[in-house]
Amino acid sequence: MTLALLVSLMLGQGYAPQRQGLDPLEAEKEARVMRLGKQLRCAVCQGVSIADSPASMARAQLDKVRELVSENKSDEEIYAYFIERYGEWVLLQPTTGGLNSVLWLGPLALLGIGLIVIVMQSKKSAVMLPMPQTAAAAEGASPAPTSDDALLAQVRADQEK
Amino acid sequence: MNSTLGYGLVLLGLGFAAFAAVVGLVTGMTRRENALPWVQRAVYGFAASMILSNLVMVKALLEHDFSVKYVSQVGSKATPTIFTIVSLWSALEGSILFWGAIMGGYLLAFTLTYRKEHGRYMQLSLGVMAAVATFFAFLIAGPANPWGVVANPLSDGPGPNPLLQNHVLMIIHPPMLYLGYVGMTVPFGIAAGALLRGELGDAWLVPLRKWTLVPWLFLSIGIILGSWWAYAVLGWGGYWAWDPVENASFMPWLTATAFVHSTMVLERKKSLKLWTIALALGSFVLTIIGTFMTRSGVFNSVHSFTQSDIGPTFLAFIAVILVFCVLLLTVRGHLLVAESNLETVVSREGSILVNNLVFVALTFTVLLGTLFPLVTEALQDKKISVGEPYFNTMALPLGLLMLFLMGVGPMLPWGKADPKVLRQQFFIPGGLGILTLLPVVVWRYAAWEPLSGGEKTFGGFVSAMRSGDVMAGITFGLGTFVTVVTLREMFLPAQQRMSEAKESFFTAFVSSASRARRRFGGYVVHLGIVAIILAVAASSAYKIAAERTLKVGETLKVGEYGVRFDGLTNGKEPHREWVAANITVTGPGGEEKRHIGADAPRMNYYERSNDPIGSPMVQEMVWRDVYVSLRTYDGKAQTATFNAWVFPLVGWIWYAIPLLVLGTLISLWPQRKTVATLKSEAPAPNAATGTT
Repeated sequence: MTLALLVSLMLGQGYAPQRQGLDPLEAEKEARVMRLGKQLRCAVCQGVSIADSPASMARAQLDKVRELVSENKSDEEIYAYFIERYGEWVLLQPTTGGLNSVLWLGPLALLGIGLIVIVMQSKKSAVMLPMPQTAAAAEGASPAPTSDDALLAQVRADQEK
Repeated sequence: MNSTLGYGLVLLGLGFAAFAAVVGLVTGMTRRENALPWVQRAVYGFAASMILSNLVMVKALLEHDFSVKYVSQVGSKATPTIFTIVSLWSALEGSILFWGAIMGGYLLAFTLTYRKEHGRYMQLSLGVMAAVATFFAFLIAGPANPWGVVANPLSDGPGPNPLLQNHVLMIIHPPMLYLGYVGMTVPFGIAAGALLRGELGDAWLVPLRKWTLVPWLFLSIGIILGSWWAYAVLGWGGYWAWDPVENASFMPWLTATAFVHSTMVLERKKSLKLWTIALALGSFVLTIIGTFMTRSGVFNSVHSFTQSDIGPTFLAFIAVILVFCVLLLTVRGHLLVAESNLETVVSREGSILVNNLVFVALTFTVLLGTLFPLVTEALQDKKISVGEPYFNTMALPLGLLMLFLMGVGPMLPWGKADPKVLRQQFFIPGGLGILTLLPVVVWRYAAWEPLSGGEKTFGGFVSAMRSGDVMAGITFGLGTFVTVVTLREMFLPAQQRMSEAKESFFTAFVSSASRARRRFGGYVVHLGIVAIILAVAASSAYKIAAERTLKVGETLKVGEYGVRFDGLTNGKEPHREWVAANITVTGPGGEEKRHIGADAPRMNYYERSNDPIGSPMVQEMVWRDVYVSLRTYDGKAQTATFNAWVFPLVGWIWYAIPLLVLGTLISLWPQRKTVATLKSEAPAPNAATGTT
């Protein structure tokens, strides 16, 4: 069977399709390598960073980061090196400029507007609250105080004694 | 033979679904209620045809009938029987067929449950659900037909995708996810039916909530099992990569979770109506968008093994549904006016409202991040990536806010709170939360080693702390806070009964819990979610990693553990061959555990794929996992390169599943109707509507 042949071949030669990884640098620099590696996308994987990927191509790219870190290149220079080669696609965390600001500010805007609406709502009803009629109406709408919450409130009051 | 029978059943199902949709919607709108039995019968017919068609496919797979197109794509005589059955959902056409069976199952269960007692919306609801079923039946009959006939069948096939044969979790993860996705059709149908009918009493709210909880639970289980599968199979030591397909399943989960909370405000305060219904409709739309993302191959992702050209059909369907939802809410919006206003944010309803906002903001973030690369490519012709760092940055603060609200919400009363009582209540859980930080800091300081051999000072420790450390600390503090609040809310009523009615602890606990099943079940689920959040925080902030190439007999240190390389072996199974690097893992106390052959980190060779697929060794323990994956090996030199990690608490992500199941079942359990009416104590609280 060809598969058996293939495996025996593999066992003889091993599986290391491209180059072996460099050994880690000293702790401080290696931490930087890993931090940078987390931000760079592995070209052959599914959205995984080169720091996380076991793929040989990612290991090679991580070695490149090690090389650049040993040369004391700055973060910007290292990112620039990869962007020049692979385009902005290589950055797992998109830049903040231009159209990309929608990505960063959109959720914040949604959260902010939502909070404003909620606060406005409660302000509005706070103004309406003193009117006895609405208060009575609200009283009538809510069920008799038989719920467990009333029970809980009672329990809490008892606890304080 | 199989092809003809299977395809015939699909066409029959399509006919039944279309009939149910047309009759249900037309007679429902014209209010001819006597047509309902016909709709119900057509639904039964649809369910039966779809389930039978699936059974025929399983039979064809087991018989290795390679004249069936789908079997010729995924079948292989070498595949073990269990994976042969599972290959029903291992590629696009089969999974859509399977989808049809689940849809049939849900519609059958729903129709049978309410065949006697039901609201007047039933006919329209069944019509809407049948319309969705018609779409899927059409997909199976046309663009994604698995029943094509192969003219000159071969004697063997390639077998299913190797990645899917690599782990038993693949047997249960996809069905769970499908049960979650497809199930969202039911609440969509209920909500749309009631809106179309234009009669919005309270009668439809209970079924709406219950039938959202069911798919919610399956979706939760499906997502967690998926992450477990990724962790146990893919070998990169992670469980969540914010992959488009993971995001696709996460989004409806988020909106359904928000729905389950806002429905409490709806039932109690008669407000947030439009919002709650929008969440129910939105969850369904997101499941369809999710299916589209998974199945169309728009995104390059682990899951796009099921690519085909069903994309356009799906896009059209999404557009139709969106237009339908918007029209429905516009035309019927006047029925959804709030009957009460929010008095203050510092109340149960206020906290739920903020909780909803955070959930929706996170959903929006995930949707935006997932779709954004497509947008820039379309607008600027520029390829960009939106990956893990972006999602983590955005999701972390939102997640912490959710965790905080999980503690604050249950503590707050409905309506206005007394600030003094609040402060007193906050004191113990808040204090314990802050106290938790103390052991965490002590433990981290003990574990910390100054870089480049400097002196170990506390100042140095503080300045060396990464943001991940700080976030994990905050998470632990909040986790304690939430746990204490939740346990107090769970046990306080029982304690009161014990002191007042002199009941034993057990009796008091059971009766107080069964009086407020929904809330009690919800708290059990909350405990499960806290466990998951803490596990995620601990395993990502405190993981220890190491990698090295070892000769036989050498040891790689990873944290307190040692991984010794004992040599290579190879093995053979019917569907694959493998090379394993035998290892011995030495624990902190010197205890040794050997991992040999199938139990060791491996490279698997499948006939279908050129590159080997690794499978890591995971030594699971209660408080931590040791995870070793084989990266490369050299048979001549007898060396192997390993990646090894120690992940604290990671298993609690999946151990939390039983808590989620238990809590949801408690919430769903029907309330006995005459409970406690004969007892002389206080009037029986109506837990189904009166409590959270």
